[in-house]
Amino acid sequence: MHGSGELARMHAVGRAYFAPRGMDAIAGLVGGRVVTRPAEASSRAAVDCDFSGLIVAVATRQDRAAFSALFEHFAPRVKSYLTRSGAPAESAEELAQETLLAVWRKASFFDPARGSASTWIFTIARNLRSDALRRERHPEALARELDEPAPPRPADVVLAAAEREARVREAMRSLSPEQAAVVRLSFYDEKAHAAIASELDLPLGTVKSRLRLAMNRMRSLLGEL
Amino acid sequence: MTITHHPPDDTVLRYANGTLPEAPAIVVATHLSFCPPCRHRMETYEMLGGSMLEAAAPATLSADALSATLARLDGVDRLDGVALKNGGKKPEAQEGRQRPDLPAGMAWPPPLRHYDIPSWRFVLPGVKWAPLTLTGPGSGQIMLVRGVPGAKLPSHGHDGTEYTCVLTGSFSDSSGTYNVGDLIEASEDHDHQPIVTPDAECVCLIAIDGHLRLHGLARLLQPFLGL
Repeated sequence: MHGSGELARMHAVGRAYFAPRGMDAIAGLVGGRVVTRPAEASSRAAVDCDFSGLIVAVATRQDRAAFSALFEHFAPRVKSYLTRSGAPAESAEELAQETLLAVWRKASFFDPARGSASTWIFTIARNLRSDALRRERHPEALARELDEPAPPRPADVVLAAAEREARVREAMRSLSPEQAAVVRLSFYDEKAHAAIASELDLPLGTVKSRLRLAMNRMRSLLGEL
Repeated sequence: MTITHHPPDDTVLRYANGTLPEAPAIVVATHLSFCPPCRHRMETYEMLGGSMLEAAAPATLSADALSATLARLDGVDRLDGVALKNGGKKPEAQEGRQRPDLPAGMAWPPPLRHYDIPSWRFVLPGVKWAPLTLTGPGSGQIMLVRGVPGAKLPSHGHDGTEYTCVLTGSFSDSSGTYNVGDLIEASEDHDHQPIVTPDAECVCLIAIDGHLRLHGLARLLQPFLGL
């Protein structure tokens, strides 16, 4: 109902690559909790496609049950992301709710062929967070609608999106746990290199070289996308 | 016109995760509006963010978070993406925004449509500027600079990184020539003297990262800018 069998297959491939080791290493190292077990990988493959389907259900028939399922999966993760990137717990929760409200509001903009549900929701959370920071200083920013519908794309780019998602997960999986940790701290937790060095109790030069090696590995995989 | 100067990976990554301050983010967004390969690169970093969101250890929400959010759904003004894609009126149209005049043939890049931009102000013979008003500390400085053919800007360095995107025409410095869509990222130790190419007017969008720290050209301009 939402995307082809080929898309579903690519999601499954991506999930299988990504779940068993790479992201566990990251969550385990930094969050202190392992969130995915290998045995869950195949069921999670289907789950991710379902998230796309749930967003489509919200878009086409304002399906509240679908919305609730999205909320229960993503709102706690969005709050986790916002907290890690420096938001106080209270505003992180508020912004997590705003993010899911934006999913309800903008569901018709979601295109499963352009990327996964989690990537789309990440961009919404990121934009809301930036807007919230700006709003504190600049009331006009409230009125801004930053994520306009994307322009139409050539078919080959659309087809490639699911494969690119899979490659990103594969690239993350290919990193050593140490490299994955600095990438996550840098990109996702938005910590400066000096703060990462302090948190991991490493010399600044080591953090920088780990990050450089990690990004080089990522680039060698992602550069072909 | 081929774009030959692109933002480095780190800058695209900071744009993708939302940590690039507003002023340079507008310049990068403008470059992205000209450059499909860089949009592609940026989207790949967004996918990285998505994969990390998926892997995040879930935080605990307050007990009534879902019910409170469900109760708000009816008050949400839902956007119709299908109607918008089919040419409907966008919620944030640009009419009513203040805009300076432009050289013939130049259009406003989409990322600038959300901003009021004042009329051109005199800087030096042949050079005018128009500052965009952003937020307070941390968002950085951003301005349009317009030079007549052959105009010379004084030699200058920067305090903080300078991001420049060429919107029309071209200019050169000792490092090369820059054309429409090119993004030039110059670190604070990069001294240069930009000269507008003799055949056409040039308009650039220029941002300086971080807090206001005036040196070089900016210090020279200070009396004119009222800063």
